[in-house]
Amino acid sequence: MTLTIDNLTGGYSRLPVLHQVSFTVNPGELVGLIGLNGAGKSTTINHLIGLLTPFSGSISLNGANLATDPVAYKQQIAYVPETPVLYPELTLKEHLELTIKAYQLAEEPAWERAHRLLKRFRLENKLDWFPVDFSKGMKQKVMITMAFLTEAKLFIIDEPFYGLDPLAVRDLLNLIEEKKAAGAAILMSTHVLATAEQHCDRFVLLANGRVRAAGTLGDLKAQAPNPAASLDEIYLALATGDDHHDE
Amino acid sequence: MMNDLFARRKRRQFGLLLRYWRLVFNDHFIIALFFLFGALAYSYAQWLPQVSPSSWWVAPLVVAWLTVACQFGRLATLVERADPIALLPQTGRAVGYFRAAWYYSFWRGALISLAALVVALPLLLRTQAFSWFHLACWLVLAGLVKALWLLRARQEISFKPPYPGAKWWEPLVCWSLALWQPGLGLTVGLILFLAIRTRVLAQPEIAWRQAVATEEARMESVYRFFNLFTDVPHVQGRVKRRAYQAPLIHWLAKGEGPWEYLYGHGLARNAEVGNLVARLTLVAMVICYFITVPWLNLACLLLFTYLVASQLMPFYRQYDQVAFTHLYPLPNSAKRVAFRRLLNRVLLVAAGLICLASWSLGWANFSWDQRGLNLLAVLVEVWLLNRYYLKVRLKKSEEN
Repeated sequence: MTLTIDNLTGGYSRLPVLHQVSFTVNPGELVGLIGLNGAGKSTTINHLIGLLTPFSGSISLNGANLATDPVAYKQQIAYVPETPVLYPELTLKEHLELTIKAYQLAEEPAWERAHRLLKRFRLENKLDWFPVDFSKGMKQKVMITMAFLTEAKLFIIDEPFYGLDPLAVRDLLNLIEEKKAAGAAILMSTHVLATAEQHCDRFVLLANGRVRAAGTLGDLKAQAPNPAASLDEIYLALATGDDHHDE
Repeated sequence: MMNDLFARRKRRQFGLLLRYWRLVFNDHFIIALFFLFGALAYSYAQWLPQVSPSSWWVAPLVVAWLTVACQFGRLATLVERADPIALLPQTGRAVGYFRAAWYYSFWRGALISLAALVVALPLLLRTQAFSWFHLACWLVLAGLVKALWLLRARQEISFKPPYPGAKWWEPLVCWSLALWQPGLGLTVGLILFLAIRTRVLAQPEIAWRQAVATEEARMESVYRFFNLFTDVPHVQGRVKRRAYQAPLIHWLAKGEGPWEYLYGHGLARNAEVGNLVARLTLVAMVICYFITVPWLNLACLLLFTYLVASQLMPFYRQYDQVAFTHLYPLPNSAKRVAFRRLLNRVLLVAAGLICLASWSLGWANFSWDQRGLNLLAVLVEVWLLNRYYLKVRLKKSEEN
């Protein structure tokens, strides 16, 4: 069971942002998707969750191809967006109910998992709140709860560390570790390299819509001018020299 | 400088309101309003001859009507949140600004009061003999009472606010006296106006926080009015959990699917589409109730049912901006099926209610044949809307 992205070329209109991007995410693995603003991280993620249609190339998970069998593919993924967007007319409890319905989860165990997550993120007394009552960080926690409530095989997490307090960041990282140990694959895009360096098993460094480097921290170091450098320095060395362009 | 500032703001405000008015008059909702006012005017004209000249309740009703009418056309100060800070050095000259605001508000308010008086006159003249002197007194008093009301509104944003209820009691007293003895009412009104004017002139300081809050509340209600017809960015209906909505949500969201769940909760609680459908149904019921010409009655019933359906259509894409919507492991058809169900449920209730009102309960000249025809026609329309219109609209919306 692996997420396989094969020669993905894609973007928003006719102009491609991504050029022949290929990488994999294996079970029990946390892969960090890193790159400067406009490098193509969000575009990659938007393709992975089916918001954009590839110009060419394929995306498949555990044999289910996103283009040919979207239902089977989507059944296996969960997503935490960077900007928290919730349904304004649903309470927290109703968001969870909707997730349970959408993923056709068994109600009782799903609610048990939900209550554990709510407790962990200190949301258990806010079940009747509407999104308008939540702060940005709280909304993000709601979305993390919704994602981790599912029994997804692949978790896609976009820039999770902005807006979360340090306690919530720690809780999220623990949650990721648990899911990893249970055999799930996780793809996380982030700019917070110090945290990524500590927790990610592998990295995919995007630049100008292309995979500039990929592999473990050791692999990246080997490609960098100074092998003793930190991820920060490797990142800067590999990513600068690339032109910025907006996604 | 301060007078110029008000003139500038007045122009800007006028441009803004003009934009919204244009949208109001472009929308087919206005057709409904024309029908409504036409039906009301017609019913009023029909009803007048039935009022007995000795009816005791006419005067109190007219007094209440004019007192309520006086509450419309508020003091438009056009102050903004930054004013207390930005205009602090100009505080001494603020008097001119607020005087300009007062005159601006007076002309608009006086027009509303005069219009209300004109509407009430035919009723009033059923019980009172016509006299030019009385008419002149009432016309002057309509303006005077409004001026008095606006002075009280001006006092409310000073550090010495008037006694509570002044804006209701004073018009009530003046109009009560004026319908009994027009000259007396006018004299009392004039004395009150002069007395309060002296007091306002002696206390020119502005309670800025209060002034800003009052103006924001006023603009909020203006925007809310426009929001009935079009989307106003300033007005965002606040979503709240309301116990009485629970059975409605339960019924709308019936079905196992997540889309049914989402659409059902969304529509019941949505401040725009849900309210719009409810208001449109209500207006349609009132109009269909009053129109007793059979073919016109049926035409209105069918037209309004169609309008309800067309107002509901954009709701199909309501959640396109929420990423989760695209992530659910569901076939594309699930959304369409759920929306069709929602449309069917809402239309059946709305059309049912409008049809019930169109039966014009209590109107003797309406036959059971006509009622049966109305019911049959609207049921066929709902079926057609659901079967064909929905398909066309969804196809169009997905193409865009």
